[in-house]
Amino acid sequence: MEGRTAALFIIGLVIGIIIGFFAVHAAVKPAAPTTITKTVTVTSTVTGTVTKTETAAAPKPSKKIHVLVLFDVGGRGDLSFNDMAWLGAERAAKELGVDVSFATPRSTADMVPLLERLSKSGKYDLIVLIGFLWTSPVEKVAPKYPQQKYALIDSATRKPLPNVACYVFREQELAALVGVIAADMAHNLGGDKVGAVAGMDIPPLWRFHIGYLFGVKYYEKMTGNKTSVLWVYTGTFTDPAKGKEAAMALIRQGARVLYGLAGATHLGMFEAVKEVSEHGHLVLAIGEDASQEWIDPYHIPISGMKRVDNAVFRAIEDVVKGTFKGGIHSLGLKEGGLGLSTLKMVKWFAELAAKQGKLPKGLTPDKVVKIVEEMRKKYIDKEAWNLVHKLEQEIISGKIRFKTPMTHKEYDQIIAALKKGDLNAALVKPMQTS
Amino acid sequence: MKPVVEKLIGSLIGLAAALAAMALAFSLLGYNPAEAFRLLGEGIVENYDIMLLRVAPLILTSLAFAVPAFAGLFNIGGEGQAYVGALAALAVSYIAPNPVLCLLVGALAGGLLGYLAGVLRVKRGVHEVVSTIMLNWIAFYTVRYIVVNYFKNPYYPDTTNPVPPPGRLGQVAGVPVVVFIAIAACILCYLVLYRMPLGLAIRSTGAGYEAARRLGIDVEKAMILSMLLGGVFGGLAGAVIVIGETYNLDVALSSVYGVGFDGIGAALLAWNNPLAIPFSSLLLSALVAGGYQLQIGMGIDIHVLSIFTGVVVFVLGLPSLYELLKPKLQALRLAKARRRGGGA
Repeated sequence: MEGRTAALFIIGLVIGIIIGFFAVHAAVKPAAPTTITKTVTVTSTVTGTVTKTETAAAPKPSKKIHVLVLFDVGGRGDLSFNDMAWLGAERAAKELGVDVSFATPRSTADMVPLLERLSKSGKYDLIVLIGFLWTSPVEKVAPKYPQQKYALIDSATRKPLPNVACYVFREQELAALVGVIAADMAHNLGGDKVGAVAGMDIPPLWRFHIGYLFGVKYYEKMTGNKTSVLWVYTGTFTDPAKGKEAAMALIRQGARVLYGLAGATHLGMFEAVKEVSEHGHLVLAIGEDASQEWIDPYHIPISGMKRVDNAVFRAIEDVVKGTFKGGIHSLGLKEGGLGLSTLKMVKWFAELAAKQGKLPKGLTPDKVVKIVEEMRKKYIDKEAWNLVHKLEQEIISGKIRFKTPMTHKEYDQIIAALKKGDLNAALVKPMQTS
Repeated sequence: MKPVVEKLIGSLIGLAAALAAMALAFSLLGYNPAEAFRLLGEGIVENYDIMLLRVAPLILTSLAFAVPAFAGLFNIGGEGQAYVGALAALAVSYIAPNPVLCLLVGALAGGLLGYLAGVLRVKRGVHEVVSTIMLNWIAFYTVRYIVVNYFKNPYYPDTTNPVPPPGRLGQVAGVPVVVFIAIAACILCYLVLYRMPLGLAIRSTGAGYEAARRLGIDVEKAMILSMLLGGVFGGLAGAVIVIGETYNLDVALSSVYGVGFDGIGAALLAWNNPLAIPFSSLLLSALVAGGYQLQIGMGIDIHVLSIFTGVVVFVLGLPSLYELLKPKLQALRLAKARRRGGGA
């Protein structure tokens, strides 16, 4: 008996070492130094063009600045939200010479004590908090440590705090542009319905919904082509199977263009679109957060980009420059926080995918760009682009400013009015009729 | 007394083996193992409050696994029982914010789920591993559906409305009250198993089903009650999270997610001994709490740390898993021998 127990220990030990080694090897590899430098050099070349002026103006820090990034529950590896945040922090490490460390909480229960401990340590010049779930923990902890600076990405505290900089996106602006494009593509495919597969019923998604519906109705008003929007909340950001189901249901109801707003969930939407299209009923998809055309360029001609990386970079840069300011920082088309994917972005993300071995077989980054260019020419009219540019200009100049609903009721009211074609219901001040 | 000492020594050797495995893996990957262990230790000391938050639910889900294990059943349903318990406690707190009542209702809800699995096993022959795994998913999605659609907080739509303050349990001298409740549950569990007729029935059923039956023990009742009791502890695990720690649930249920499965590991580490479970649970909680320092200090990803926890459980728990399976293996061997004998 005892001999057997000892033998089992030894077997366990050996198996443990083997499993441990391979598992750790596989898991750590993507973050190994060589890969990081590669990724970062690419990042800086593309994003550098977007925020060129800022990076040039950044002074060299006199002492090493320490930044801590705390991810959402789930952490890296989602190929969109958390990974984009990581890209921003890595770019700051390289371009601004700051020290960056990372951690991912195991559950929401750990968030408050962890944040408390780290704030108390006083080791970090800035703690960057990624995602909505950090809102109430930072509201509890931040007032106790007025010396500690925080940046909250993609959410805002209910009361502005002097030591918490909240970076929120005006998603309506981006979704409005996407709405115009989606409506136009649907009509070019012979349909009059567009759809969206959304994640959870939370404020950022409300803003997407308002913008998308606004864009579609704006298109309807300008061109006279009647178009309706089918919107589905799947309740999850991590379930591709559910995304596929939802997409199938929308396609059956007649949607010809689907906008994915659900993280990993809408990867299933891409699958559904591909399957249906290959059976002869062409449906197109639009990606979100990162440029996702490379996943399936024949059916994803365009993406909306939410530049979480730029928000993280900006927050760190403000601390380096000494211009940190608490309160809400709102990022939109004007600030480079949002935008439709350009061909340059498409290429860069396709290159990134190719490097990680994720690009579908038979495709190269250049081929992806070529296909996307052709798809855009074929399914998006010049008039639609003109409408998009006009809308973009009006948003950037401040002529069009969207309302931000604070409660679900307010959101429901705006949607109901928009559905009836009342565009002004979504705006702070009415549009001038031209 | 001697077997206890033997097991303790065995566990210590196992712990040393697990640490050696970790050290080797660290150094093979180019991390300095000494530095890693220093950070781990530092993290445990600094994040002791995170460790204490994790330990109470973990103790309870360990019991949820351990009690049915004495009757020879594998309750994989601690996870689902915890979800149901958490939701029930939360719902009751809105109506009657009394912590004791909330915990009791949470425990009852988990118990019912365990009871269901027990009845299915005994009356219908549905294996409890299959039924509890299915029930885990049913519980997960049902609870999530209710949280998302009925209990949502309008100001923080990713969480439920909080437990009203009179329904909460706080801390005593920096230790959450629920930790004491969890330890009390261990002692209670020990008394039931070793000092009460029900415990004798459960243990006899697990030690030898056929023998117990022929001795006149109602083995079916013992199995069902062991699942019920396990479910009660599982439900209580969910309830203590809501009533004593987070005071709400998030729409992804991340504060409860995984606690049932971690509990299986903690129970195996403790050889299912209710009095050893607090220590094994503390060890696993310490690995998580200390792990934050490893993440920040050395850039090791959280998923890698979870793997290490798995390795520790695996290396330490292998002998006790074998002990658990031994009666079944013996029965199998016996049956085979009998068949051979019959054929001759």
